[in-house]
Amino acid sequence: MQYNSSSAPSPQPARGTLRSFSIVQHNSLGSWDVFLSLMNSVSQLTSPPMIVALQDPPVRRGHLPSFSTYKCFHPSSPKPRVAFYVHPHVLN
Amino acid sequence: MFSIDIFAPEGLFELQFTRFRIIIAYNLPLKSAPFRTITPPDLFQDNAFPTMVVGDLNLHHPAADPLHRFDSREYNLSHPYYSQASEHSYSLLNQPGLYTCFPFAYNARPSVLDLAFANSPLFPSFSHWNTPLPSTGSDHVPVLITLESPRFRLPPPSPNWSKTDWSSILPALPSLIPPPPLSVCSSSTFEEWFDIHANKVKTLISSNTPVSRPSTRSKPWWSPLLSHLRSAFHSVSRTYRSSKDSYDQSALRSARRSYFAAIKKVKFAHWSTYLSSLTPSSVWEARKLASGRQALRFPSFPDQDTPEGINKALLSHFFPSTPPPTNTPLTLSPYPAYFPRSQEEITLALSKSSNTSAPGPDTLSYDVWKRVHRSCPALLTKLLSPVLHYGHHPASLKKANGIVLDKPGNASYDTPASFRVIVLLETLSKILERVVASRLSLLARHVGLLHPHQTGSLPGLSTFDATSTLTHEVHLLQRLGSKV
Repeated sequence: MQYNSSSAPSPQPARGTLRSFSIVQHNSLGSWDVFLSLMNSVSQLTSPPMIVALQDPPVRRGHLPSFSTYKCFHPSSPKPRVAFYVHPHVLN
Repeated sequence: MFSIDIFAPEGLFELQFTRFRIIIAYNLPLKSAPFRTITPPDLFQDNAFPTMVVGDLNLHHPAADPLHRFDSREYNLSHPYYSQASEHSYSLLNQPGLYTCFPFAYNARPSVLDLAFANSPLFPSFSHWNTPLPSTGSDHVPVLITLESPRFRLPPPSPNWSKTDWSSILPALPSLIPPPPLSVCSSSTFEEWFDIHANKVKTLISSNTPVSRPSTRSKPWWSPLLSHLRSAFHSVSRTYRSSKDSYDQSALRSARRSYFAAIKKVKFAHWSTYLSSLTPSSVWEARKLASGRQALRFPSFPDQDTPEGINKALLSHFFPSTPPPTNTPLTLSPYPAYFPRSQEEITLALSKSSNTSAPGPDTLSYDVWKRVHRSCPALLTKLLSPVLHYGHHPASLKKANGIVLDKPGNASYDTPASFRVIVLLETLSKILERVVASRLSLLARHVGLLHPHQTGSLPGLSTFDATSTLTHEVHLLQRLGSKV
């Protein structure tokens, strides 16, 4: 009897196309603690999300917090109610 | 509300689109109804490219939380948003009934406020929606949405009906018996009534059923002992590879011998038990297992070189476009000459339905409906009766899975005509169909639409009756002196 541990061949991705994409959505209640806790959880995922979509992000003196390499995009308002944190992989 | 566009010049998720829009919204309450701060047309735009809408929409609707009872204010507020979404072909991505908001106030109930929608160009790439991240201290739960190329996605897990927790489902069924729909309503209102109440039952059943993802390589005879022996064999094998010691080599041989001997023993025991437990009806399954499964033949047409092209060629061949019906009534009202549907009719229809029949997109088998009907006969009766009473078949019952199979024995398989489609309708629709068929059959016999010697496909008549009729006719003609 032969023991075969090989797996079935997987299809090859088309070159240069966006194959997989994940988004995290959350309401951070305008809290820095919630924001930091979320981003900490996100950074510990095996494949980090490409986009973090936040409602009610924390704002201090008209600025939203930054986190690691994620780039923040938000409406031009003194107190934006929504924001996107975009992974550098998407920006590149 | 805010949106960003993502461009992938060489294609998104292997679709033809290169642009993908994500809209985020925080839909806050307004003192003056009828809307929140963002109006439905602003939120759900009619885009021809992939678009996703995510956010805390502050809306309560049965589509997201089917088991909850909503008051008219909540429903009237959320209805325009869901209507707009439906009009522009947006689909809800949330797992129905999975709460995303757990308010801190002790008297507030959990709800589904964080919603995600994808329009029809994006929906084929939707893979899953779940809440795997830990609590962040917010009363909302972080939601993870994954989009993937359909080609690389694993098949969705299927419910394991043998492990359904019926003790939780059966007591809750009487509370899901639907009230009658409005006496005069539009077709969309009627469909909404049907979908809400059908989804309540389906959500209750599926939320109490674990899922499984059986692999094509999964083995019914595998046991925990084999897993243990396999890990021991691999461990000893690794040790020998690093040490090359003769003692480790003999240990490896011993572990390998015992592992493969155990496989042989377990396989023999499993298939012996299987064969001894066969019944006359299940012996054909054993024959199918023994003969093996024929390899699938993937359609390949000379003038189509992409999966989308093959898909379009098959669809246009099997489902040529037909003009939409023109005489759809704007309002529905009950037919006065309607004969009410009885529980026995549904019991009869279910008794004739095979438990092994392949289900439709909702994956609910006849076996599930039989248990539901046995426990609460009024539920299916009250849900399906208005469909006949109002003479309107809901669109949700017309959804089907199409399985493309090759026609055996063809010389070549380079045209769509070499294939055929098996359409798997939802079992709920087929129960209704069976009831209508049995009514039509009775009616046809009653008014004399059938030939008196028709015996095929009629209950209570068989080949014996056909043979008796023929013999009688022959004897009659012989008595009259005719040459037969």
